[in-house]
Amino acid sequence: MQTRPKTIAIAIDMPESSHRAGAMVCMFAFLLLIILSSSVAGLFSSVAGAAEPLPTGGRHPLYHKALPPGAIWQSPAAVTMHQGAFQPVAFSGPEGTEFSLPLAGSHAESEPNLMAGLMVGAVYRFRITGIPGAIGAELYPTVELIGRTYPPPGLETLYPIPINLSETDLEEALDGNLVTRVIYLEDPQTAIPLAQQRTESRPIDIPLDQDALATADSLGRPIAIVRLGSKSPPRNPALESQFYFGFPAWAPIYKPDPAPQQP
Amino acid sequence: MIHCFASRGFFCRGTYAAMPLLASMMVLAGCQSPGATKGLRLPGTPHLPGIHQAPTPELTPGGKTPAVPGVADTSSVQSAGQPAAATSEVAQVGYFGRLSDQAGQPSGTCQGCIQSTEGAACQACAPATSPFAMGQPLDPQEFLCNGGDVPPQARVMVDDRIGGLEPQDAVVHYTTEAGKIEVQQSNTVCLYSPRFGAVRQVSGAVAGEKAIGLRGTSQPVGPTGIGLTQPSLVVGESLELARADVARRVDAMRDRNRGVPVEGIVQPLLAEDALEILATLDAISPNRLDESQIAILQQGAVAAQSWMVRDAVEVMIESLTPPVLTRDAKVEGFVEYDFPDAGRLQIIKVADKQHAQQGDEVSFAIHVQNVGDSPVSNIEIADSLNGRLEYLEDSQQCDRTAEFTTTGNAAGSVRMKWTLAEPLAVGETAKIEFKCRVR
Repeated sequence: MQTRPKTIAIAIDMPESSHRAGAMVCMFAFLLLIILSSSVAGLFSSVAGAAEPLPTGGRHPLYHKALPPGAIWQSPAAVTMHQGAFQPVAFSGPEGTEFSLPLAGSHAESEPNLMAGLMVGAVYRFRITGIPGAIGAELYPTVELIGRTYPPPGLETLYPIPINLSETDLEEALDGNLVTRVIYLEDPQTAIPLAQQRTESRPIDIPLDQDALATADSLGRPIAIVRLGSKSPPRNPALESQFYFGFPAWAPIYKPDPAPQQP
Repeated sequence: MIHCFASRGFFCRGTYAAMPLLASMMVLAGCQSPGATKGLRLPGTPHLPGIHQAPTPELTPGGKTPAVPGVADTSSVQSAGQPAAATSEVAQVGYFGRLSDQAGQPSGTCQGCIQSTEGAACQACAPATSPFAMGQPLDPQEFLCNGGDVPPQARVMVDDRIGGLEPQDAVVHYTTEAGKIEVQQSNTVCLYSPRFGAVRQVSGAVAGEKAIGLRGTSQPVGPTGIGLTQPSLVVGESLELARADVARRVDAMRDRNRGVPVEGIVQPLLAEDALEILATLDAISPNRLDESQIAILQQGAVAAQSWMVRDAVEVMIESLTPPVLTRDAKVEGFVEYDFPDAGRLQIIKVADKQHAQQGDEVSFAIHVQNVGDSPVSNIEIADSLNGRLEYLEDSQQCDRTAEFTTTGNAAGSVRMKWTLAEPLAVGETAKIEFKCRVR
């Protein structure tokens, strides 16, 4: 008990100037240690969280209908999807409708059965003309591929992703509504046992309180999102790039001409 | 690290401090790999890297095909300096997945093209390396499979019915000569036939293609209330109890009985063992009776009041010779019974196509062969079709006498069954063919 005050007094009387530099180094090292440990802990917590299933709550983890086109691709969880691949897509619609994709500031030639290779992950805006019952009207929907198919080599163009639009889709869009179509790859184990054609445009209509992508996810693998609503491109040319989402590249696919008849 | 252990000074600290720095530099360098900037437009960024807004490209005069970059047979592309494909037919462009077909081409060939500003020339080639260098991935949902039994659940029930046959399964069951019932599953045959569906949602007010409000509400219009409080005029029912039979139970019991004192317990005062004198005589063990023990025996015999049979004295005289057992039997003959191995059926299912569009007809064939060592009987072949396969009526053929029946299955298709009338001898084959339409 007699030596304790003496020790404290000695500690207080120690000169600070001799250890100031060392104390700063120690403080810097301590702060660095805290930052490193917190980042490492955060990494482990995120890894542990990734092992858990995502809490969907009836909604798709990546998508909400209020999100603009292309927002899925900005999600951090979307990095597992393969990017940079051209995926054949076939457009079809009611009798008389023609489709064309933008080509360097303009539009390519309209075709009734357009087929093109679109890049997975990019957002394309295409043009629909020749809408039945609406002479001169145009629609500029967007299509966004969020997946691709994996056909055996040589079958890519035989089995494109069909984007089949019905007449009611076009009518709803011309009426000023936003039509969202989520195209999914059907699971053959739970497929509907009804005969369908490739250009079948019968959708599953869901009400507003349901999530389109979550519904499609429950029926198969969502592969493309089509949004119909825009009726005209912007008049200001400066806005065209934003309207066309930067004119992403696409690869044209032409049907081979029939072999000429031998005389 | 060796240097670090040796010096134990600033070098060591410097090495440890440099490691995270080097790692962070490597991470930054890895983030800027060419693959990340390759041709993909992120929403919000107006242009692709290296892509500028361009006026309308030159169109081929009078031609149906516009001057699209990347098309090998377009004349404008040839004039722009792109190497034209040797084939004159229209080629598919820009498929990385087709690289497996073009393995002979030198690496670095322009597989896809990114649009350019000047005319229609290819400004930037998409890389000629497949993004799936580890092998072609597959999605089983794109394939329409039939056959097999996964997991193996098919079994023969008591009434010769096949249980556990799910849609898409195909099995054969048979009875061997020994009477054993076996079930054999077929192989799985798959067609590439993806089918797509669509989910549609129509939103109301649109601003920038964002749904900002409800399209409309539908509220049921009807009566706000229904008053059914009219009193009844006559009450003709007596709802009271006419009689109640209640059996009352004991709900409590109070007992004041206490223990009665017990007196006069008589305990044995003395226990005497009257057989103590017999302790020296072992009634079971074969002792030799000495003459010296005769007196003890007689003393014990006299002391015993009565003899029981099992306590009787037994004396064995060991003067008898043991019987002799003679074994002189010989092997007179040897008969070998050769039981052959059981019969075994092999079932193979094949299809005449590897891919099918919706609406196409596909022929399936089932070959059942006895690859065992003895004939089998009671052969029944069952095939439960996938929901996307529609059996074409009267399209089945069987080269043997068989009874063919169809029933519906859980997937909305049919479950076909062939019951062969005759057994299959060793090496014999039964062939079945039928046609389906892909839905």
